[in-house]
Amino acid sequence: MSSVIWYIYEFARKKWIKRFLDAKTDPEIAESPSRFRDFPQVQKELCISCGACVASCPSPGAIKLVRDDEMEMAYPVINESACIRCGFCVEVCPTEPKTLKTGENYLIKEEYRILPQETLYVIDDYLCIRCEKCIDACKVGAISSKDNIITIDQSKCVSCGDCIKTCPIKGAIKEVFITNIDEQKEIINLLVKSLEEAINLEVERVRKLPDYDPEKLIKLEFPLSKIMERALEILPDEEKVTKIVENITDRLKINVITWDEEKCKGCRLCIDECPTGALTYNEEKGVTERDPDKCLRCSICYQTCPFGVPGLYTARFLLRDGRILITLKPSQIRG
Amino acid sequence: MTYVPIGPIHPGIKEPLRIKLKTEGERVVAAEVDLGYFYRGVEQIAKGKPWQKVVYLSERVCGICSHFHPVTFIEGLEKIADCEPPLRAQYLRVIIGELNRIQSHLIANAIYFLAIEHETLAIYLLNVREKIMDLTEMITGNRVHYAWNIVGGVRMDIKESQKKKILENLDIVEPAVYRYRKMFKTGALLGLRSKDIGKMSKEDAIDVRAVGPTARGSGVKFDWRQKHPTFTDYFDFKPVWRKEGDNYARIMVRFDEILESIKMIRRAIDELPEGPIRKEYKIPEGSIDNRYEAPRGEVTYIFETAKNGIIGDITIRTPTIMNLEACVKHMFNDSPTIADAVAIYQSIDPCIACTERVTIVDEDGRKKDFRGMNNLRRMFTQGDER
Repeated sequence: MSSVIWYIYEFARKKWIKRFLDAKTDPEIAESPSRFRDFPQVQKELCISCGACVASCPSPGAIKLVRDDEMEMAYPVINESACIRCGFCVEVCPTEPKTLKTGENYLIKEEYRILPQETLYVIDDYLCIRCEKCIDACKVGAISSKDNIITIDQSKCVSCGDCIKTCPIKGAIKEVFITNIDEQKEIINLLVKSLEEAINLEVERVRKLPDYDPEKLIKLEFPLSKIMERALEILPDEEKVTKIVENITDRLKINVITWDEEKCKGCRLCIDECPTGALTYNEEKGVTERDPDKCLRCSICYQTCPFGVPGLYTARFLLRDGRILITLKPSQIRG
Repeated sequence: MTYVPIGPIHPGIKEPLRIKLKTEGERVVAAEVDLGYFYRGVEQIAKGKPWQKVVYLSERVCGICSHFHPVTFIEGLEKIADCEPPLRAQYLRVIIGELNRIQSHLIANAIYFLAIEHETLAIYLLNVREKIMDLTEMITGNRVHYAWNIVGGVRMDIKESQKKKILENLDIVEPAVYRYRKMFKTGALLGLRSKDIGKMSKEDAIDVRAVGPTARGSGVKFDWRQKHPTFTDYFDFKPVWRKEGDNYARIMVRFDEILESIKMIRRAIDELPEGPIRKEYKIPEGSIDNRYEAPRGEVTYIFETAKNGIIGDITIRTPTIMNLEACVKHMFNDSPTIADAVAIYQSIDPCIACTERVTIVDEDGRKKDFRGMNNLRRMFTQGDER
């Protein structure tokens, strides 16, 4: 009995009970420090939808530009399950004041080149008509005109691509990927190889038509879907592959050499001229044969041959609606 | 002769790996270790990315030493660019780096004490560690992944009020560490389970290329901070070492390094020079082999940069791969009980997540032993013989 009295005496003390009633959390635990990097907060009204935050993010899929119909603008949305809270997007944001905020990172000014360059925007001075539309379109003031030459300041560029959209000349501003260089080379090699194969087959067919006119242009088509599957094995990004193909088709030029053995009289003039030894004389048939794997397409044999055995065609390309349009032109060089 | 397997999932070890112990009665005679449960392919992800993205990837190689991986990578980039960061940034890197080292050593010792079933001391150490974690959160904005280093310096400056808070917390941590160090030094039970267990001689340590506190506990007087310009020029750093070579020595080296680090942080705050904290760099093409002293030992980054700052081939080597080799080859071969084997394993402070760099498997998915030149040669020249 005495122990029960003791317990009541011990626990029913006024001071002891008061501690429970007035309990407060330690402010250090409840309040995060001023630098604490929480998930970035987005203020839609300041955004210029340049996409610098997306380009800078090291975590895939953590930040995306989502289009808002009401504001007619795209603004960043943060996926909290993928965000690693590095605060990089806040640091690169070019608006003043910043669209994104986290901790004290929004105080850091964008003085340094920390935005990773995956694409490089280059103005082709030869094609540029100096309309200066891109200068007005650029939201960060990276494009400037000096001595009538328009240049892009790479340290200010945020790779948003607005200049390409406004440019009236196709190919005057180019978007060049600087990552995945090895994969790009492989894709270009694949494209050139498959184009050449396709052209060779078609040229042989067209040349043997009865109403063939050697002065006429030959127009062909090559659907991009033929190589897409193999290209995606090299680089699994359909958008990138299309852009790489688009960039390369603008300036690609392929020389096609045809070989008509029926015309050959076996004079062997071309064999000594060939720089790689691609031409060999076949004694059984009495004609000269060409090895396309060794051939450089230099057209020396075409200029040497007095009987017109080799034919030289120049192919130019244009990408439109997922098809490559091919224009084959007989060469103007005469031997 | 019986074999006792430990792991891959086992309450005694924190991360998945398999240790196969060869025992005679209770006595452990030899051991084998089996890695390959944790491969993440960091190098493959890093290849072909711009350097700005790889800095944050390298931070995620290891969670405990999350300052040292990016700093090794960044210093390599700075060496390629042939430029030195501002002095204030170097001092700030020392402060955060040493805070990171303190918390890493505290948790390493705490896990060792859990392994020898001295939970009181373990929880004490974890409690002290919380003070250091608060400091890193206050300075950098996060407890674990700091995102604090960048090529050319650090991202944010330190404030006067923060300096004060660091000194305040260190005043709590230092006497506490002294107290726990004394408890470990004089406790009879702790000494019984630590002294003369898991012995490795200096020659063996050099032979298997042990690094970090594991090597320094065996009398190897080497620390990569001796060769680092910031530490040699402004801190006259001397490595902590002991000659016993047993579990006791390794734990004591870590305690002494904590005290050394506290001294260094105090000195850095006292002498913190004024000036900018960041410079701008352009990364040219080049290649580098850069090393740095992480809490567990030497971290190596060998990589090359292509045009426009794109990272080419990259190889990361973390300290645990050498220490694990040392542990298996020299420490396990005379441990009195199986319970001690777990304690020995924890005393080298293993970090399996950052060690798993490569696993070679054959066509059927079986793992292959690629250690040793003969095995490698057989694999690559004559095809599948075994």
